[in-house]
Amino acid sequence: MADPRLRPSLSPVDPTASGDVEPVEEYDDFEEFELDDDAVGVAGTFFDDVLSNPSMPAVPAAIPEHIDSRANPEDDGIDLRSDQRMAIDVASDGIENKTFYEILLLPRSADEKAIKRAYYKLSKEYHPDKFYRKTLGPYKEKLEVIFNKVNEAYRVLSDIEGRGDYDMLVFGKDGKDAASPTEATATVNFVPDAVKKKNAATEAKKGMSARATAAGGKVRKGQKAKFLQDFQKQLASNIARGRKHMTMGEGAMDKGAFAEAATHFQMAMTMDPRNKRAKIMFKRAQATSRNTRAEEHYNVAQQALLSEDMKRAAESMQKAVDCKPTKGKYYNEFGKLISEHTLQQRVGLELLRKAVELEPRNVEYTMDLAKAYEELGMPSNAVRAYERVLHLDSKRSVAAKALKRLR
Amino acid sequence: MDKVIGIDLGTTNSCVAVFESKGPVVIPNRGGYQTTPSIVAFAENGKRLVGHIAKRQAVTNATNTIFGVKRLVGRRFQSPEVTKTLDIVPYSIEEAEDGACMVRAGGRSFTVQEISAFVLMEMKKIAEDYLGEEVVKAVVTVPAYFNDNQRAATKQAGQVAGLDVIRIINEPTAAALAYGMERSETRNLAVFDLGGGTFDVSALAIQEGVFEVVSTSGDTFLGGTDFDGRIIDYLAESFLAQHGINLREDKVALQRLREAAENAKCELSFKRTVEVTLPFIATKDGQPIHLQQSLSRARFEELVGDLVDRCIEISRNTLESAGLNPTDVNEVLLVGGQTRTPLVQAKVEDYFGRAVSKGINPDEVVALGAAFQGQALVDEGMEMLLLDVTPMSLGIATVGGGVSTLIPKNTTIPTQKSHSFTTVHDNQSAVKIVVLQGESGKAAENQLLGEFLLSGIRPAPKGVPDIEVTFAIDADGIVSVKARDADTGKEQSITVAMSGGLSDADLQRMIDERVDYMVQEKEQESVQELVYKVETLHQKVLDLLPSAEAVITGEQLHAIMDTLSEAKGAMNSRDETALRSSYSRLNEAHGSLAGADI
Repeated sequence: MADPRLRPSLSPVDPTASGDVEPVEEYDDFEEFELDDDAVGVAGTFFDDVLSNPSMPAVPAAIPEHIDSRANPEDDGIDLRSDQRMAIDVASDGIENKTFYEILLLPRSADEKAIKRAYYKLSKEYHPDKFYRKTLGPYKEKLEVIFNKVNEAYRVLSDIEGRGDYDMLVFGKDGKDAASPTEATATVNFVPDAVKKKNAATEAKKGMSARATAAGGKVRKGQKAKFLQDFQKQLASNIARGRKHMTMGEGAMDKGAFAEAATHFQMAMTMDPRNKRAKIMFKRAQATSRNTRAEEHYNVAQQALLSEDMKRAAESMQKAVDCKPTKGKYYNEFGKLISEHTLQQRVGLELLRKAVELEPRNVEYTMDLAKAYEELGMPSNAVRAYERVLHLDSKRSVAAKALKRLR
Repeated sequence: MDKVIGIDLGTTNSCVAVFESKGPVVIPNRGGYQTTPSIVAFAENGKRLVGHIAKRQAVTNATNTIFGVKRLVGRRFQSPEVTKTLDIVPYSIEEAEDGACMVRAGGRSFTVQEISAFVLMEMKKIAEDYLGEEVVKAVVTVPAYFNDNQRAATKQAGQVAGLDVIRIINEPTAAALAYGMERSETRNLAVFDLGGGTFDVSALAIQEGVFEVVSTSGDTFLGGTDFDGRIIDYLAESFLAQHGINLREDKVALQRLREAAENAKCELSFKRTVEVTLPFIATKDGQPIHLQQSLSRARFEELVGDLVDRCIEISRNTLESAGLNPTDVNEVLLVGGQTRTPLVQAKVEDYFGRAVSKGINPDEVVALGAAFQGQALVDEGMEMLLLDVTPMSLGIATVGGGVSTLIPKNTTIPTQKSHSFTTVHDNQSAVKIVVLQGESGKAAENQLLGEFLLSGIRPAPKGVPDIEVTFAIDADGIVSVKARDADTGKEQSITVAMSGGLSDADLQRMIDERVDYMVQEKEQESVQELVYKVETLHQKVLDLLPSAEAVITGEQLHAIMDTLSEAKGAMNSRDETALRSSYSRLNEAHGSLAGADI
């Protein structure tokens, strides 16, 4: 096969997503549309998963391209793929305000081994050597900041004493996770909480500075004390930024810029990982964005077909299928295109079969598949398909004739 | 993909390796040796000699033979280490205008970077001969405990040598890379690296292709040379007591003594006792005196015991700051030729409570690791990441001679740290910042990296300006500084004059000189070839002459005789134009004689 992208059955499809029910309208099926975790990546469910499972990959291997709304980001001379850019953007955004646990994508309960594993994993992703002598543009500084922070987080959390001091500073004496920005936003007693924390931290700071002096004034202790001073500022900033992204995301939704909206909601989730609304909105925006984009690609393909630009038609069809791999229509049209205009009959057949698999009650798709079987000289398959057509619609005389002919 | 070579630029020996399909391999030099002496000499005819050829003539040309220059790299002439070196080397060391060291040989002065560059060029050439292609990219190793000045100077040496030094890595780390790549399980590794001139010890954690240096320490003035020095002193002292002559004052005798000491030391690794014999080492009242002295291993161990103890002490500190007990270490790797001494091995095994690993040749493992790192940088598909640390704390001098630490030692590099500065006077326009490296709380006891002036501060009451200065240590361990006015966001232009570093102009001059030298060498090569051709043809004509004499005219004979004597003159003068014209005339003569003969 010349072009590996023309391979059918591109991604596993959850059968519950469409089942035997035919989606009626194109754009409003996002509620049923179950996103697979791979596609959701960093944004979707990672925080909850990480909290419950420390061995989960710390950072998504790749963030799907769909999220990126910028047009042709590769044209700016920077040697980074769009998924890499996105990963760096997401990791560096608001990093100053994240706790060391959030930076290492770890739950508070993480043990020494998990901390080390997370550190190694993140280092493999963000160490400047992994981008050796590449043109990075603005990403250079972002990477430096990320790696610097990851190191700092690891240094403090991997030192038992340092981690204890840090936990006390950031989470207070009871060790309860008071640092969650969500809880702070959600509750009215934000101020008293903060005051309580501040007091606790001032005490802690006193103890620390005494110890720091005893230890010859080590810089690291000072850094941790400084963290407290910045803490109020960080909380507020985190929340404000998260909110700003929510507002911007909603604005983008209204304008119909779904991809952009998805990015904002994702940012909002990153700033405030337990913001359930951000998560829902992200899924919705992403699904809608996919639908829209798929339909756009499909339209382009149709136009290309009219102007007999088969290459472009095939490419656009492929994109439509990639954007919306749960829709039989795109597979069916793609399959017909391939069968009719190329010599790759088998590939076309696979696509047609996929369409029927996704929407088994669609008579047209089944009919197309049956014809393809017949043309390819696979009579028993063709017979079964025609039978299925008649079962779905007994008035299809074409199918009945074909059956007679084949038998 | 460009080939990247790994160069272990050692105090006494250097080694070069390259990554081939199955892994890194050491490249032997033209003599078939895996390592090349880091020795540069200048012969009487001005020719530059590097490696074994330089080592062989060291005794007869002691003052023009430079060795152990790594001990001077990035150091100030006034430093105690250099003062110590002055006494034991036969060549002369001078102070440069900026306080750095210069060495004198072949009738002129060279910077330390230039001498190192000559060694690097030799290693480059060895690699090119082997690979049959030009090599530009290199990873060069330095002792882990090298400070910023020493690293920067090493990088400059690479530049002078025409190499693109894509990374400077630490020797013990390189050794760990070469050693650990083949194993997959998680382990703690200690690298004990005692080379010719430096000692390093590093503790690493290795897991799934990640090499994390947890802690590193060392002494850049402790190595095999010091072991030799103890033997030299012992032999010289007993000779002084016996004959009243101090051999250390005679440069040629000292050079012979040095070679004898090194040989004795090596032999004592597998013999119980050695005889040191140096005939005609001195004269007294017109009579030659010979040195004859036996040295037992026990005596040798007595002489160097404190040096080994110092290494163990440093190892102890390193493990402590890594938060490890000796028993936590799964493996101990010995690197550097000096670890062949049985006493060193015994004390290391005693301290760690386990047998040491001797899998890879300690002289080659560092270069192999450097080649590995080079490949990992250019080959994205290689699953290997090195997390190295800065060996020393970086700080700035504070009022009253104190130090404020910005980046503590054992911080993973690359790293950066920002610090805000302000003014202490109204309308102050400049702030001076002194950058230091070291662990002492007193500024004077640390290494001075450089001073710089934050200038052009806009007029404001004291304490108002907020200048953010960012100190960065890159992956090579080299420090850089940049400043930004936090209020205006404007980048400040600052000049950082690091001591001992070469200015751009100096660097360019040296690079030009290298190119000139190479052109010159090429020309000399082609002249030599021409001489051979003329010589061959001259001989052929001479051979033909007796039989042809009868058939040619007297005039012809005269012309041929003239051509022959002219060719002789051209060969002596080595003048290219004369050689060329002689060659064509000889060719003519040869043609006519050969024709006549038939």
